[in-house]
Amino acid sequence: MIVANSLRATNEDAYTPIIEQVDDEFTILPDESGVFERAKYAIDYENIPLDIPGERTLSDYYKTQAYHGAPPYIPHPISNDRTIGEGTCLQCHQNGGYVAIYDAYAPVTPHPEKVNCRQCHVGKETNSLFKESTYPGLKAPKTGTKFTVTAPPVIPHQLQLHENCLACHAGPAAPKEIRVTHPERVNCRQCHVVNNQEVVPVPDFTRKTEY
Amino acid sequence: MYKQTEDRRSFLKKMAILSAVTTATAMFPGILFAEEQTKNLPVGDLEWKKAPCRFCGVGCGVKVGIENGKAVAVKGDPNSTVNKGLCCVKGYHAVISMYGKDRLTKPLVKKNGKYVETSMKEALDLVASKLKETREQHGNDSVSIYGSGQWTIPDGYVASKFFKGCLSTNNVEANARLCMAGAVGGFLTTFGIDEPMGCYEDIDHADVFVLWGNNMAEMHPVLFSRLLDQKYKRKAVIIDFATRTTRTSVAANKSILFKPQTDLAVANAICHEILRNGWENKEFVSKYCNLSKGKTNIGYGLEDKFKFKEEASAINLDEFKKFLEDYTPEKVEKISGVSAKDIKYMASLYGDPNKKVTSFWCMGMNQHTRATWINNLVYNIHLLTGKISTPGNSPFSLTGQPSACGTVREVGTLTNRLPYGVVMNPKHREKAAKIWNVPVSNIPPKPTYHTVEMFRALDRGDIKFMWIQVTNPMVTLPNVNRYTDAAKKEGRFIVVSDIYPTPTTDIADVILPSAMWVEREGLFGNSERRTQYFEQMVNPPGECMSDTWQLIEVARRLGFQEQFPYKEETHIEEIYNEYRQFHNNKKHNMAPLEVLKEEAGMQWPYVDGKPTQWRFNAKYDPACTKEGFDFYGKPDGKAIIWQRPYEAPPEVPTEEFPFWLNTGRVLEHWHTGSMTRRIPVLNRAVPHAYVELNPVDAKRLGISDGDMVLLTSKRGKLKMPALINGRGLPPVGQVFTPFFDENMLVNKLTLDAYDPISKQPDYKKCAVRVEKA
Amino acid sequence: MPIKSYIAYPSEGKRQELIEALKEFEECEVIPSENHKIIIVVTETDSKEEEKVMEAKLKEVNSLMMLSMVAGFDTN
Repeated sequence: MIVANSLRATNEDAYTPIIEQVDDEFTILPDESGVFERAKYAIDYENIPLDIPGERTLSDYYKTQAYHGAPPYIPHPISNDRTIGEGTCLQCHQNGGYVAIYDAYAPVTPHPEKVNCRQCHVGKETNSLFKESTYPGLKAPKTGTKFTVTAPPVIPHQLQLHENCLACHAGPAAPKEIRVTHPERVNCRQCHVVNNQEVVPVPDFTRKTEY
Repeated sequence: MYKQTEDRRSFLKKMAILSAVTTATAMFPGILFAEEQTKNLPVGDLEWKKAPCRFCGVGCGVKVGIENGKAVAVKGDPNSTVNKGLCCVKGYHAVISMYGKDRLTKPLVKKNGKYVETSMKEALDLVASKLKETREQHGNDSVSIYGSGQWTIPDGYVASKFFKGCLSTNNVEANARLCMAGAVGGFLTTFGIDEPMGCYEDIDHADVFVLWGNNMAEMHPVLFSRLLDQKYKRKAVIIDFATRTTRTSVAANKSILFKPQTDLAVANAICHEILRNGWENKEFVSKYCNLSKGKTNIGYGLEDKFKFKEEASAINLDEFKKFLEDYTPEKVEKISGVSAKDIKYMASLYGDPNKKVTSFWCMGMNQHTRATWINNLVYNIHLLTGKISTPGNSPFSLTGQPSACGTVREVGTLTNRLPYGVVMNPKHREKAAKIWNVPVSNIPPKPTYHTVEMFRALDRGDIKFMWIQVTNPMVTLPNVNRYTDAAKKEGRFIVVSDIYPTPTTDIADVILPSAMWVEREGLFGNSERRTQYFEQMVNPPGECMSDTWQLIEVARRLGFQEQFPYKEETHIEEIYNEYRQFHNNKKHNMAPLEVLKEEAGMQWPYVDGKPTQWRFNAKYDPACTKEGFDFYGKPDGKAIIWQRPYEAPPEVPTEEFPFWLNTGRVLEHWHTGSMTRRIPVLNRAVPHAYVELNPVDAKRLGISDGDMVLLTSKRGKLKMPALINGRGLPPVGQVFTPFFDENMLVNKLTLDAYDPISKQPDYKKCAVRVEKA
Repeated sequence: MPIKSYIAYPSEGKRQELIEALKEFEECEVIPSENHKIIIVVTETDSKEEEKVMEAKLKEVNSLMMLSMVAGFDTN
């Protein structure tokens, strides 16, 4: 896929030159571009057989987060504590797949381009605490919020680092409650829009009319 | 109490079964359960009725769920070949648009600067008497009606009959002039007859899709999903040829960016490459095409009362090739910013005899000061290669409104048009007068004002009475400040029929509350010549009345009972049957109402009980009178390849106004948002407009995401928040903003220049200054 | 009073046997698919304890390969 700005090919400008061309421009992609990131696997996802015993549940997933939206900790022993990215984590987490020793499927990362994994994802060496905490946490939003009985559910979470829908919502590692029934429909945001009231509550549209 | 618990238990049990059935259906599509065991499930209580979607021109078939007299749910109609059961987020929530709290339910009349509630009867009396008085004092052409592509077919039909046939004025226009007039200009000049030759089925056959300035992922998402299906299942290739990077660019196989207006040059360069390599279909060109050139340096219509007359003359292929020498890929690279390599790549796709190519476009090409030309040029590519009117080979202009085709283009609610033909043609006038039951002398032989000029005439005082139905020109007109002031001038009387208060009802003297969509009976016609019927499913609130019936009531008050004899219960059927007489020929016959009531729409020409999918091809189209292809819109059956040069736009960035401003839509909101913003889920997704900036520009100007930005053009100023690196990414030196937000009216900045041939304004290009506010 | 719905997968070739076996349970409502091997089972018991007992008995049904819960409600 070529997304680079095709203007790279020429430096001459036909119009009143407006602003100097800057090289940076060519490396910039809209931050939403991830929506279609895994679309090439859509048909495979559709054909994947269900393996119900190995399924994850949403609560399994939430257990790995300190609050909704926090980076999950690494719930398994780490094979090599000195390497990151392609060498280790991405071997399993770029595309997922069955891991025999855990009898489970590796979840797919929605942001494989961020390779310094351990910057955000930490291991877990102990269950004991240094001191108790009163931190209340942040509850995950309800799933399946629909505005009519047949309406597509909205996206209740933020998209930053999570814009690649199929990474978390399709495949055998996707928590079963949020696994999409129609992975072949890759333009997810045709039907599912963000209604993320936890960041900025948006009041309903009202118009000042003095009739 | 016991009873209650029992009810609750049985309800929960049903819910549990429903969940299991839903899950099973998702896991195993097509799975069936015995009907008696699932029929009483909660959703089963809804009554489902079919309709076309209320919003865009794709014309998805939907099923509307009715419960206790209210429309409560929508699902895609699996019987519709358009969307095959899938909708977009607007469609799924369409029913909510009927239940906004501030719905207009009573007529309002402005008295001493204040709106006073009145009865429908009194309001219609007032409209009728004002209309009569204005005509008597200032002549027939002092009154006008302005509708839209959201008019149902009967709305537009009675409007045209009333104003053109009875009131003897051609002051009938619709906002489709701001939207697809360029497409019409292209069809009429190239083929002599309007509307696409192909259909959505082309998507299932094409190997390559070229999207010309068309962000389909957001604007026509349901069709784009069909494209993506083909991309992943059949390895079809999608080329996004655009001025800004969007979701469509990201989903496409290749994104090619060009500088505003240079699509004209690139299309010519593609033709140059095709001819240079001998990729043209020589037999097709010699048998089915003529070559012509027209006037050049044709102006931009910026001044009042601007006039243009085309002068065409025939040319030969050698002359055409000579003309194209100015458009080698290398030369065009310099104007367009598209690399010669990319131009040659596009040409090679069109030129490959083994590839079927479909081109899609919408506002990028149609809202263009050279709209007719760029439409001609893309047809040139398809005609030169003979890739037209066969499955998968289709130049396809999409529309943005549910009945831009069905009403505005087919009924002809434009100043120059009649339901059949044009007002200039005495035979067409005779035909109309006969069906309308009026003397032929009633229909004036000269067109009056196209949309922009109509509002300029209101400003000048040439028009004193205007009735606006189903549209919001005080948001959508380019350079809107001039026209808002015009409408407020002394001695102007404005009637607005709408469902919600808008900036347009704000300037009204009388506001008539309308019934919308399935609160009434009606018909829409979509982009692929598909006519779709919907019945009245729920009662409109308060005194709301359909636009059709409002017009009939006023016409009768002016003494035209004989022309409007319809019964209230059957008027839609009577009107449709009367209208069908205009198209009673093989080129445009429309399906009878009984068929439309049963089917999820039917495409015209509907001949011998069959719809026509590909026009002009003798294999599919019964109107063809010769072997192979018959472009029967032209007397000799040949389409025209037009020699059209590149001409610069009227306003380009300067030192004072260094940015290009482009405007458009977002997926969540439709048109001016007067309906979609009242759907909470959509409003929460995109609560207001914004201006997209390239991060490089933003950094240089010290603007961060969400900062307020001041945009200034020669015509006005506007403050709005910045969106940096969001769903769209304009190149350096360009900004983009959606136009739906009445509180951030970008049309205060846009330029009211238009295409001299089609009179279509250009909302995609003007010059602005960008500053941190 | 818990109400739960499940999708049941029969063991190879034992679909009819499973339907009959499930119908024996008075807590179970059985909705077999008409064109697929799966069967929807809805259970309704008076208490969590009763439910546990029933679940244990269900596990004994050898024509049942797998039972996957879809929805659960508790009226209390």
